[in-house]
Amino acid sequence: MLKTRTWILLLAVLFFSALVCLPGSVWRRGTDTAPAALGDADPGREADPGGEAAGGVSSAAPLYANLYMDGICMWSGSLSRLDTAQRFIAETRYGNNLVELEPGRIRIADADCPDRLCVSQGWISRIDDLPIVCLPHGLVIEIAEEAEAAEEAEAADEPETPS
Amino acid sequence: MKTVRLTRDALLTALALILFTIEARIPVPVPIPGVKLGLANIVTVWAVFLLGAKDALLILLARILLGSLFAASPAVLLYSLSGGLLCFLLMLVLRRVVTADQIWVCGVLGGAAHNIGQIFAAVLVTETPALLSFLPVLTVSGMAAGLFTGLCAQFLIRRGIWR
Repeated sequence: MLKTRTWILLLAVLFFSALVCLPGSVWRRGTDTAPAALGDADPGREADPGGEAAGGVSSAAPLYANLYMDGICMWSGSLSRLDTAQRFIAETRYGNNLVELEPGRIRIADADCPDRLCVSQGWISRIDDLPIVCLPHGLVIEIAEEAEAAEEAEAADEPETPS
Repeated sequence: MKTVRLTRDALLTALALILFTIEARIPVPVPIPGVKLGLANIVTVWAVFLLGAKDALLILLARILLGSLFAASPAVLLYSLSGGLLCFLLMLVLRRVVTADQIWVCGVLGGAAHNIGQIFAAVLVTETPALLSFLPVLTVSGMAAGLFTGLCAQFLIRRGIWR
């Protein structure tokens, strides 16, 4: 039997160690979902989302978005080399997600899953951003420095998207 | 005697399902899958302490099975099942360790265990190790939500309603 004080101490240690491990992107979330213009207007904040940052990032490290369905990378696309917005539909075994890309960032714009949490997770643009997940569809979009799938897949998708 | 037990367990399952459904209507401030209040956990904690392992497990399983049919897609069943079972096992252990004034500890650790179990199930099912980056976020949110539900359960147990 531990004393209540011991329990509180124990739990507080656990809680704060988890808090310390939080990726920095968690605190930025919410501001990231705001329109990119907001980031440009505020010089104090790192102006990452939006086209301006994409240019800067591409010279340093190219960023890729990898889309996984049930653990298999089905699609990869370069975010930093992208110059126009594009969207395509990712068809999973369980349902469809509308993926939208803009220079330097990616999001799920629409989905037919029950909770649509993947849509409300908004844009992601950096390596340390939490990946976008749609658990009901087993779909994960992650930002990485390397393309997991062959990039030809993107080129093949491109003609489809405008139609 | 048997009828009493059956009726009681059925009532508690219905109560847990109601809480579960109401909770699905409450918008979550952070759009991260798995962050939620877990109100139905109040019933689990209560049952573990006052009814014993067997009845609590029956109520938990019935709630998860029916809940994933009602509120979410069946694909989510596996995640809540593994989370719920891990939480349940931990509570069985804690039940022997904590005093009546420390039941909230069960809630806190149970909430964390629930979310950790859920992530590991998600990593195994979708085979996407990137999901592990959600571990700290979900541990923090599970502990915070667990503190609330654990305190609720403690008040209910100490008031001795329907012993």
